[in-house]
Amino acid sequence: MARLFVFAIGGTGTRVLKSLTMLLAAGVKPRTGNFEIVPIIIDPHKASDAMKKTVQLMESYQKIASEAKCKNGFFGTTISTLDNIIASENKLADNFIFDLQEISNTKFRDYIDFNQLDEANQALADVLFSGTSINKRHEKISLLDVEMDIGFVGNPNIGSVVLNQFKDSDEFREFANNFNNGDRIFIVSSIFGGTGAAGFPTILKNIRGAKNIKNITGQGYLENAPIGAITVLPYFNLEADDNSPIQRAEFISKTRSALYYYRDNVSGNNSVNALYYIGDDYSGKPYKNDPGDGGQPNDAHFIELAAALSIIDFLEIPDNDLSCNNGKALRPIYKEFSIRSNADPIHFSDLQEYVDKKIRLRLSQLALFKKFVDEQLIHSAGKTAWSTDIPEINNAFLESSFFRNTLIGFLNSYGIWLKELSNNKRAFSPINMEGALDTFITDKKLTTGFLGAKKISFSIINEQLNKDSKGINFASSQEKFLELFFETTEKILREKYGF
Amino acid sequence: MNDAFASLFEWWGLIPFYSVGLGIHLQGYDKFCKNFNGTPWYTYIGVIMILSTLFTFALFYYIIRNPRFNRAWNWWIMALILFIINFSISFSIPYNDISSKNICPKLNVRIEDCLGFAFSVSIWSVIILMILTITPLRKGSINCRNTTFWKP
Repeated sequence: MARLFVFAIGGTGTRVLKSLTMLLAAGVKPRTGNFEIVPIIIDPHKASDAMKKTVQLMESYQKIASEAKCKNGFFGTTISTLDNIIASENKLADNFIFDLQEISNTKFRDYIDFNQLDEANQALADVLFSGTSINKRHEKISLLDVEMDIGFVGNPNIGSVVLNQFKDSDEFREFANNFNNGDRIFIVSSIFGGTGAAGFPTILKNIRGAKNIKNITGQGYLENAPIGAITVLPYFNLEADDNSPIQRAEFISKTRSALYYYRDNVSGNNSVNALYYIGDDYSGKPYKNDPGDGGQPNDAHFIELAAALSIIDFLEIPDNDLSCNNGKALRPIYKEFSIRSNADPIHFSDLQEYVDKKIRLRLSQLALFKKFVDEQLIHSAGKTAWSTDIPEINNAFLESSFFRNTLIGFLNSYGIWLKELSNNKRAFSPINMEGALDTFITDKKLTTGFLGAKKISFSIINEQLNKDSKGINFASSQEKFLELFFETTEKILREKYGF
Repeated sequence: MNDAFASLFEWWGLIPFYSVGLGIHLQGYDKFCKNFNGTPWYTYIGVIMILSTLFTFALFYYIIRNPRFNRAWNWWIMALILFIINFSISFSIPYNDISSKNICPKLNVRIEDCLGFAFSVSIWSVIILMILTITPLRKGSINCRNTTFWKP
């Protein structure tokens, strides 16, 4: 199976990855072909809560997918760590995170050995890294004294130096050695901060220039690899705080500067086969400005979901349209994202038809599955025909670690993610998990129809489950549980909700 | 068929729930105490018992399409209804014959015999329902294919 290597850079990269994980869990797939997704998070801010949660989420996803042996449907796309796919004995950390060396508790000054430089080079460094920032203790400091363990906090000039270690890392070597013909690469980054803005062109340059790097194989594939990228423009509002290194007012100027750079070094030289732009100038409730150890505690945002959809879109582009010669895309593609109206909150019906079709059914299926698990499963397990067919979904299954910890944990995260999307500004509220079965799809209020033909209840879902499980052999309870609910929720949503 | 049902309801003579006299009446002994030209009630009641049991089986497993009505106690409700129906029919028939004196007086049949016969028929209906339940016939059911009289 071909692979898609997703480099998620910085905080935005991590958040987009979270949305991608939710989409894949719901069964959203590219129309054509199956890809194994290999996410690689590049973020010096290792203590970031958002990163920890995303990694945890992907680990749960992996566990669920492997135990249930999902082939299609929920969790139907394989997500692997770089370590999972390497053939060599050089094992890496099995945790999705690119291990940036010498970052923890290191000032940029020490990273570049500033004190060892001769006078001329010190002067050059002073010029290149002039300016000030604010550290974790809210003290004004020189850029050279930035502590990098909370990221590059809006300083791409620092990020571009540190992230250049990418090409010399074990991760890059293993990535390059395991990159095969037919595989693709996608880079997710924001443009208005430090890590993403610097990381995207740096990583792109190193991949396209892999032929100059020694001790790796597959350079040829990398040089002409199909590469897609999304660069996320400013999309959220932030509290003004003079004591923070992150300032909303600088988002636009930083974006403009980076775009100028990209014009010559990314889009201008056709390094990327497909480049997606996304952003939102909607000025909603500002996020708390907290770049500290835990990182920006931002809720999930619709833009991150839309950005994750660009990854799916990229996978749907035919190989022929992604061809390269000497590391240059022959037919570069540039795309933007739009919705039908300037709505807030956004519902499914506000999405463009293609996007609506792509996600409405699948996200609703996972939501309906979660609703059933939360509100009905305890009453049905071990009692209904679908649950008592072998292999049984009984109390032992409900007590298993797979169900109680992993699956429930993931579904709870899905519920929280939906809630965050709906509470954010601009809000995306297509699903209300607290709603009744006939109203939980917010733009679709069900009528009971003639003689109650369209009535929906858990009893009707149970009956559909009974029908769908009849005569089907499943290898395990886990497989049965996920496959059956995928099939049944799809039928219920199509028949009763007219999807 | 009359003999077959007679053996069944009389438990092959092992468990006499009712008198021999009622058994003779149900085999078609006429009210004039001459020969067996009367109504062969064993056959009629036996056929009714079989048909009602089959219908109850079909009703529970195939006609009622409610996933909530699939528990063992739901099965027992159906069995109870079947029991009551068969009890009523198989009690009322000989009882009416006694009341209307449509029975050979020499047989000396009492109401307790009617109750015993009704009990015997009803029990058999439930036993046959149980036998049907443990066969693969229920496996075609959407909601109750795994429902028996002991689970779920």
